[in-house]
Amino acid sequence: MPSIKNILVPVDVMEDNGFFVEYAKMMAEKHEAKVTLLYARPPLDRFYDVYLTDDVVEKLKADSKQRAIDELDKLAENQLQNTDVSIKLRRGQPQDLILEMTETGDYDMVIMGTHCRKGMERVLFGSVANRVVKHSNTPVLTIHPAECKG
Amino acid sequence: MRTIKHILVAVDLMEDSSFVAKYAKLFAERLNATITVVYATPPLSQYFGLYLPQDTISKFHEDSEKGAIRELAKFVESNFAGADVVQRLANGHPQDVILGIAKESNADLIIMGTHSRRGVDRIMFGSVASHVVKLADIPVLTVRPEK
Repeated sequence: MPSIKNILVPVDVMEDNGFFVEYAKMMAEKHEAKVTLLYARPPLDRFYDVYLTDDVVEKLKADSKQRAIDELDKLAENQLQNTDVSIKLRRGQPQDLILEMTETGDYDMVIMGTHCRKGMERVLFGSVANRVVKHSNTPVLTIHPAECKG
Repeated sequence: MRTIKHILVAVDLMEDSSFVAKYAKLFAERLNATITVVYATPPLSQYFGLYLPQDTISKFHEDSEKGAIRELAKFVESNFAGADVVQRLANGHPQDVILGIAKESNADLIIMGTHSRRGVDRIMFGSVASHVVKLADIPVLTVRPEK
């Protein structure tokens, strides 16, 4: 019989996470499992074309990191009360990071939300969940936001 | 707080689906939920191109359905002994069958495998999980077969 003791929950601090974090809370409670919130920070190369001095870029990086940590802390505090939560910040493409982390064998399940974008954006972005579902060796629980049902 | 009271478990009896059953049992137990096990048999339209008399096709369909019912009962018995399980057999494209029965049975979670078939089958079947994940309006747990 399998067991679920560690749940990986990728979040995007720029988006609404509530609709799947509430499932993470429920699953953590029912399985008596720990939750790890993972935020994949966008790769830095998008700053390379901007004419900024190094110290400005460094400051920007430090600020954005601190803000991400604050957002994750807030999420844990507001939506995962009474849950054993840890926070991970990594830099890179979300699907690569998620798959990398599931390969370590440290997690028994991934819980992730999808986005209800339309058109080209949907094709491009929906693919994070899709790719994780396709390639993950760990069970993946996928949840759609309520507003794009139907 | 979210609750999950009824789980739809989609199985493919042409493949080993016991790993899906293991997770379904675990989740049903932890969530105190009931289970509907669904097996979709392939749509008949795939035989339309063959030059077979209608009654041969009907007979074939009948036999295959009887076989599928038997297989499903056997699967449920060996994987869900003692659990509260409803069995459903339906003819059609797996994603339509799974999504349809999920709605009809008021399921609030779907559990299914991402099978690693080969060749064309892989392209065809791999997409069942993708389709269901994309189109379901309830959470979907996808599980990969053990190696």
